[in-house]
Amino acid sequence: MLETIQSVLREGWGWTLLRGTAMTLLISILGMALGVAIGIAGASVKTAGARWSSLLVSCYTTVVRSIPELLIIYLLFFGSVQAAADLADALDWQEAMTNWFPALVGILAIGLIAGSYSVEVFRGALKAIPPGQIEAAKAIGMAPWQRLLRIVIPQMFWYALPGANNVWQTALKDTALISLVGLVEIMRAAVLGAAATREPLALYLMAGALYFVVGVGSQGVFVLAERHFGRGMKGH
Amino acid sequence: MIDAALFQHTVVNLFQGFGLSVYIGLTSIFLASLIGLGLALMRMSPNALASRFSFVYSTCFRGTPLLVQLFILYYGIGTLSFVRESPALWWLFSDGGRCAVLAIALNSGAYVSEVLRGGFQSVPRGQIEAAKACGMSATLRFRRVVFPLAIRQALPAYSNEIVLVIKGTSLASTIAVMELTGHAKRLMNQNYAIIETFILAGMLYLMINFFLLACVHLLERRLKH
Repeated sequence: MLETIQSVLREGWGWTLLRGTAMTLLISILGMALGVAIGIAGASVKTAGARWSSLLVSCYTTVVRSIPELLIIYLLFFGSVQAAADLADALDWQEAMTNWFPALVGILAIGLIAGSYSVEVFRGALKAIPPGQIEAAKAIGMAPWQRLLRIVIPQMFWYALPGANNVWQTALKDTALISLVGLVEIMRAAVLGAAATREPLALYLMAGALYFVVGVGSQGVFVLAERHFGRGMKGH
Repeated sequence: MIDAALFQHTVVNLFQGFGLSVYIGLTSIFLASLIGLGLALMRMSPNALASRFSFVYSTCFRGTPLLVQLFILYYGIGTLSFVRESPALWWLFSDGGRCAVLAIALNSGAYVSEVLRGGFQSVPRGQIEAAKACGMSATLRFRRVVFPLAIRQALPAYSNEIVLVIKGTSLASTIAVMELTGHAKRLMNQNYAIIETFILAGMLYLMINFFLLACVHLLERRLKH
């Protein structure tokens, strides 16, 4: 097995896989950023919004969480591929569109999926902030935006970190599915390599190892972040 | 607006895949529960080797995407010569459906083992000591005290795993098993009513999930009394 992996690396597939890893990271980070934005918006609506709007958010989270990720990716891909091609023809952007259209679909899909899980994470984080602190901030005359910026947001992110780590790990693994609509990330690089070298076992094992390393590495980042943002929160 | 003939075509096609999705899902849930229980018991056992194996297994399977695991099993293992030479192994790894069930069960088993471990750890020490004091043997203690208490604790988290398995069955379409998502993709690819196909397929998945969650909920209520 080791010899096979070495010969695969000699043929240059290691670089393809590493470039794929960079793409996986890019898509998961941008997708996660979109997911966090959706999560915070959804959580705010659920805690402070009107009844009908919070019902709408619940509907979104339930549906997206119960439907296979792959089906959502196919909807976004096949649903917009024709429109994207027409747009590219009109603007003469064919090349950029073929290269980046799957990436856009991926970011949108990961964002929607991560968002559906993030809503509950951020709702829990908002609820964890003691109401007494908000009242105290009001009592000393802080403006609403000051309360948000100085009291709510810093604590919300800290309370949300463990849950956000789970969502991130899922988002990272979900990016593998974007390979099925042609984005060259880790998994697609491995599929191409497997076809060219006829060593599928070695390539897929290497892909698995890469996902594992990225996952464990980012876990470390979350632990550091928790330590960093928890400096003022020792009572908890 | 969608016309009647197209609607019928979509429904008929999706229902062809629906049965296979349910079959793959239920078989995987059953196998994953067995694997998960085995792993959880190994993890809790005093044998360091068994406990370490269970930890490494669960870390590896939870740390990599299901798609990678499926491709390793279906495209990777099949290239090994000893698998090709053994009729039993070749029977298992040459068929997409069986490979999908195996991959999903192995993957979900890792998650279920963590859920069950949490359940086992939540059993109060006093209960076990009381059972010992009554003179129950280890197997009887497990059957009558530890297992029922652990299951009751683990059921809510277990229902999440069921949804994950049902969603995971959609990956079978990537190794040419025509289940629900496979048919939906084919219909979408032919540029037939994309949104309508998505809504219908999504509703079928919602139905499966809600039905299974209702079953778990009923079980939860029965166990409480």
